[in-house]
Amino acid sequence: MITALTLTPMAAAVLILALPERRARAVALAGALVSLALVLWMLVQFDINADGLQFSERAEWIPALDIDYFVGLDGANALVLLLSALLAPLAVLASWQHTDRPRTYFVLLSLLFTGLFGTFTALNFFHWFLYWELALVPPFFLIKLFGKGEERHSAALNFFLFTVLGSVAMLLGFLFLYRQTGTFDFIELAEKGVNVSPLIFCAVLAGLWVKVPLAPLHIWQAPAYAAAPTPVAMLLTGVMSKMGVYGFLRLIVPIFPEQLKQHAGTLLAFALITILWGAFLALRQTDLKRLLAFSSLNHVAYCVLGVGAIGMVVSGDIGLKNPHGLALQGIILQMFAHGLAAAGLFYLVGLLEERTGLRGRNDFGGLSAVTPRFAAVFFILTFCSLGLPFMAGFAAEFLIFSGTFAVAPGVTVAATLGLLATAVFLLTMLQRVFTGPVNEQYKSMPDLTRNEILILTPIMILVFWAGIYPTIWLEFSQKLTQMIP
Amino acid sequence: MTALLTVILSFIGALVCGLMPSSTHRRIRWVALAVAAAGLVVSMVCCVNYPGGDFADLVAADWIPSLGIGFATGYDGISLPLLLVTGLVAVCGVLFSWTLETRANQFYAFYFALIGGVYGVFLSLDLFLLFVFYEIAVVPKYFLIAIWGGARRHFAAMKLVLYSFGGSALVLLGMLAVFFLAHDASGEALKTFNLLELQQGQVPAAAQQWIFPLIFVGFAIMAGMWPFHTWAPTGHVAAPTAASMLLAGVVMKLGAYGCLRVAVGLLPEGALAWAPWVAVVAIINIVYGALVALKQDDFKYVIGYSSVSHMGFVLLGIATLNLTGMTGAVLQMFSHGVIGALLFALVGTVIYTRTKTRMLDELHRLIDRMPGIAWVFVVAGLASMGLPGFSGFISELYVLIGAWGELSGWIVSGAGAGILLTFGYTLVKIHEAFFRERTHSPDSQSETPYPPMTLPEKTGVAILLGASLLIGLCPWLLTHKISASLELLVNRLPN
Repeated sequence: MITALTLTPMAAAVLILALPERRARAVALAGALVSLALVLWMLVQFDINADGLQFSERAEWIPALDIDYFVGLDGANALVLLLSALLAPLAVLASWQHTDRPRTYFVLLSLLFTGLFGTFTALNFFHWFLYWELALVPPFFLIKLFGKGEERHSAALNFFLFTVLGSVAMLLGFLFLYRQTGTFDFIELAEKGVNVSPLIFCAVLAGLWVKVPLAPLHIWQAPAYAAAPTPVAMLLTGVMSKMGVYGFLRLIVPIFPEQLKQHAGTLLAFALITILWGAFLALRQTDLKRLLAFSSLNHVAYCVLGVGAIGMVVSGDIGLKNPHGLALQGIILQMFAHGLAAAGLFYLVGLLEERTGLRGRNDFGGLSAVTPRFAAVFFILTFCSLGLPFMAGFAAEFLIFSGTFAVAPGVTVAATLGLLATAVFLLTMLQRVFTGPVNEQYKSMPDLTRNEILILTPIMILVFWAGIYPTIWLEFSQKLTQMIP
Repeated sequence: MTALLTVILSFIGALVCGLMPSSTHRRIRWVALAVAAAGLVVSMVCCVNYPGGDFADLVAADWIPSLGIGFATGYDGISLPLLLVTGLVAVCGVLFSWTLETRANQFYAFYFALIGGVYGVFLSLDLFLLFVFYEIAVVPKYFLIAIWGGARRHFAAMKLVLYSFGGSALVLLGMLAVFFLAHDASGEALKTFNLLELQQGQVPAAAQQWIFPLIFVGFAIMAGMWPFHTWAPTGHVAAPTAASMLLAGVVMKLGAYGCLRVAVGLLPEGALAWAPWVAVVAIINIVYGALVALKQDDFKYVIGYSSVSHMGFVLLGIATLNLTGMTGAVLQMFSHGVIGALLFALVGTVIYTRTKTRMLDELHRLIDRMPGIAWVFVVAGLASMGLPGFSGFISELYVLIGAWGELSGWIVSGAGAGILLTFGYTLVKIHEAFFRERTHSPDSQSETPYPPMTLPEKTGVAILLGASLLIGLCPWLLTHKISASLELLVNRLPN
């Protein structure tokens, strides 16, 4: 089942190459929809009371090195898989009008989907790494070939080199683990327990650090998000940043519990720095795409804050039964919530740019009068990002903060400064773009079309659903929380 | 006897092609294709029939008994991947020379003489025979480059030959020393060149200390070992495409094969003592090759230095002296043989015949003007970088796992830095070649598309890329066989 899911977009890519160019987008959409259907079917069948992995598949791959093909689904990857399967067809729909070399474009997009699905389901480092790298190559070319402006070349190169630097460090780290334990299997590694030097821990961490990203390895992020074509930026912020966070949950928490405990303070500190620095950069930024990139930097760092909290040792009675579990569920929900909201916001800014050719925060004004539907959706997603109650972002950040507060109150208080700053820059953005006197130039800007509303509807529904009634989403990770001490 | 068919067929092919009149170049190329394909089929049959472990398909005949020289051939899991890669590259070399017209008969005569020599080296089980085949392979290289080569071909051909003979001289000295000093378990002198008998006996440990560097360096010159690598880029660049495919894909492997089979196989004590130095040189190869590749403006030089860098992984794998690392070394020989040949074919023929230039700063937005070819090159570049899914990743993984167990962390970090540099220069060069716009030049506005790939070119690309992908995804097809044979070699190492 999972193998079929991973291979569907790849098959679509092959089909696109074989069919005439004008069919490319339809095939890509079909592939993405089939994947979505498979994921939904699996989640419906998902047994929330079962321990361990479900839908797992295992086959020998390289017996000499004791490497198996091993995939499975559990609470840690269920939601993030749904997120990527959901954003996949939306990204294809968002590129529906794409006319520049469509065959190349949709092949790359489909390959990216395979990389994403594979990364989120693989449980053996060997092919996990294969997918991890596969998810890296298509965005590089998508940015380089289809991006905007001359900076796209350097943005793509920086994105690639930073990520590869992290990947190679991680590869070396896992080779060391392999030498020690003789296995690449994530589950087996977690059971055996590893005893490694801080250097190796850092090497594995580096790969995730770049991908999330955390300061100071975030500098590739804003240029890449700004230069990428809108649908790719949606995936970059919506899903690819989650690869890093997912890596923390899949690799760091189960395999390196001791090291995580030792270095939890450092991790919390860096998460805090990233939260504050991201917010600070967003405050100063007037380019809307870069502003959203920094906002994304800030929001994803909350997840890492939660990871740091999981590593903190609880001392004495703190009145909370399982703060680590709370933080964990918060991280998983935050990945989902931020993925939806950020992808939606990038899409909206992309639309704005498409219509006006501009994306400066101060270039517009009074748009809520001109395009009321556009403004409404933009407001809602921004409020979700802000963490307004009844929206997904609130539920997620609330869980993370309550988990973190129980174990590291000082850091949590400092991190709320980040929340405040977020409110300032997001509200300033809304005010400058949508309120005030109408800019004469854009008086005739068209409102959302039916196609665009179709893309935004599922995002809106889920944003509210996960905010008002998060229980059903949290159930997936319920069992997982019991694994953590 | 099956395996020996590769040698016999190649030499017959050389003779037949040489005797055909040069005006019939259309017919010659089909004959050449048939001969090369026959060699590949024979290698594949050998691969399928190989039982595993020790040498198979043994042929033994007296030659000069008084000197302990015999005609002995056979193959094992170490030579098998190399036979396969020789077959693959030979077929594709013909495909990528499909349009060759000038003196095609002589071209293919030299071509198959070279290939016959190469097959011979991989099959020889007698040091003297191996040396003879090794020398047979040198001469056609000279003519292939000097007659059909590009700019500075005479200089490059001469340099290549001088380096080859220099290496051979060292090897010859070492071989003679082995011949005179090797004795069996009871201390009686063996006085034989037979590899199997020499493997049973031993060379005094003290003598191994000085014989090992002679033989190893002698062979490693052909493997492109720093600082004796300089023949490789100049030779590769000046050679016609089919010859540079063979040079990078197969001839460099001759050297590495000699290092593994003769130097390490017969002189385990020497190998143990010198392994750390070999590792250091290997790292220099990897890093230095990558850095120089980064600075090149000529596309073919980029590939030439990337070959030097990739061969560093072979040397590193050999230096580990453990099963995993050496399996990686043999797999890397296969992998780089396939990918290196593909890159040379793309740069030397597919792109050059269309653009008429190899200088990177004269290429202008090829991604729009030859999209199909550009994407093929991008995929080949990714394979060369060692992206997971391609054979290069598996072989480098094996080498790194092996190295980590045996050598210091500094060596592994050096290899890691080399991998990063490889990513760097490959991406930078792909950008310069395919994506960059040339602003100040006469035809900077030119948007004319180039003709797409021809059928022979497509076939060649599919074969080489397919082989890399197949081994990348199903490495056990080769690693089982390689490891089983290497285990016998590793067991002879003292510890």
